[in-house]
Amino acid sequence: MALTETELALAQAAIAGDRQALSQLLQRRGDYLYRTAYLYVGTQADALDVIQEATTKAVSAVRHLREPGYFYTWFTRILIRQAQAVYARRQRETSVAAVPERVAPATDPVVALDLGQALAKLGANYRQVLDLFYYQDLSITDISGVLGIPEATVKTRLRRGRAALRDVLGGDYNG
Amino acid sequence: MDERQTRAKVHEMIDEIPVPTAAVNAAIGRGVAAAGKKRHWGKRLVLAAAVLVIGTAGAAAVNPAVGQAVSNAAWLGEFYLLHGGQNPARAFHVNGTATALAEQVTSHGLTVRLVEAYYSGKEIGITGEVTGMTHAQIYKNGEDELGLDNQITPLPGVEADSLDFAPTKTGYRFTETYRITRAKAPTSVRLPITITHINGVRGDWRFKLNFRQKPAVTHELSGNYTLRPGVTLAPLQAVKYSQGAELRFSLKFDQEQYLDAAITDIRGADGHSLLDLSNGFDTKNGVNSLPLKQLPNAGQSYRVRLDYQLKTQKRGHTVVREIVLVPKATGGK
Repeated sequence: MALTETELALAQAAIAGDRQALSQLLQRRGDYLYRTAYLYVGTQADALDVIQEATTKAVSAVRHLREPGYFYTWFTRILIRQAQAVYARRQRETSVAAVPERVAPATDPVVALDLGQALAKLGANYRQVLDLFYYQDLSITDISGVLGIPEATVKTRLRRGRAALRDVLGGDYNG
Repeated sequence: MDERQTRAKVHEMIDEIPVPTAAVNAAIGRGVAAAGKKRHWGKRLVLAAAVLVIGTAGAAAVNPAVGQAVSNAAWLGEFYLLHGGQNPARAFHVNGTATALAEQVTSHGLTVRLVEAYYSGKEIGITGEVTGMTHAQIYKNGEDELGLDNQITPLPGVEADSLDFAPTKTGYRFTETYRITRAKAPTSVRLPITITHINGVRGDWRFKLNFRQKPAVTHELSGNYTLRPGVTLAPLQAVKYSQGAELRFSLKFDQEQYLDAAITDIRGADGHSLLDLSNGFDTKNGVNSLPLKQLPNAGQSYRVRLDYQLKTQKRGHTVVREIVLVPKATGGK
């Protein structure tokens, strides 16, 4: 993800220990970060928790970042790892309490509601793969690396995920 | 619809997911603030650890646990001091709580060696190193971020907490901490660890570690103390672990009036602080858990320090109150 000149300067300041700069950097791409987290965990409350926890980790770890230009890639990785941890935590809680998975109420756009519903039906495993492939633009090999699952499993989840989204995607799509 | 069109459409739809911008910005702000508190502890800890390392340099000869750990990996002391971050691994390294390990697994050319571990209170810490990595593997994407995908095979009540690391010429040294999420820390824990990826290298590094500690003793507490108008402290439990203790309490403050309020110290009549600065402050579901060096004495009064900041003021203030945290009649269970 390419950084603007302003963002690059902010990233350099953040690495040098400027927390205000780090905060500004994250807020500038807040929409992207929220959607990434949301697609993993499926609820607004959990997505905000993920962003908060990932930010805390980033504050102490940013000094290790050597190349400011990789700031968002680097932070996204922290975010995804955090989202996986929160999701796993919720899964354990859900399996005990038998609470159905919640979806944050979509507001206005019909398309968002449709996508939200479709994604909710999918389950997190498929949401994660779709997010990484279509939103993060990662290759199947990279997704396999990030999630720690075989490439064949990534392909299967991607195929099933796309099939489940067929109604929302419309057209003559064949999963 | 071809692949490119599908990608564009899914991307477009994801971009339609409504974003609560104010809440996102607030979450980022809370995340930065939370790191600030931890760093505060960390700074004090670096100094304390430095004193401990210097002060116990000769102790290794008389303390078998420390001696064994040092002989396992000579780099431990320096690593903890410079790269240990905010976890208490270095304090447990020098006081002998940590035990030496000699677990090693090699897969796909990379060796993961675990050299030390501890289980104290609700925290498990494991220190180790990865060797056999190329320069390109270490500095993947130009960053020295360790991509250590750790999986704890389904183990209810344990979750990975933090990872501190430092690159070496052939890999990394790291300390990973795990946290018991149950209300009570169990006496024994069997922790299976499976590492599947290290900086993009896929492999199979598996460890099964057993940890034990003496059963915790819990004292139920009661009472409400007004530390200043609008700030109430309610001690809930005092828990004694094999090493150290923990005070659980609720601190409520008027959100309209106060920007922040926190208990920052507890001292006995002798002037010594009860706080264990080697460990972090934890808040969950409104209950604060404060690590202590030892259980507060029953019936003894302690000076509890509250740091607070009013919304109308730019500077913080301090107030100290004398409180009997554990009443005499309270019995452990």
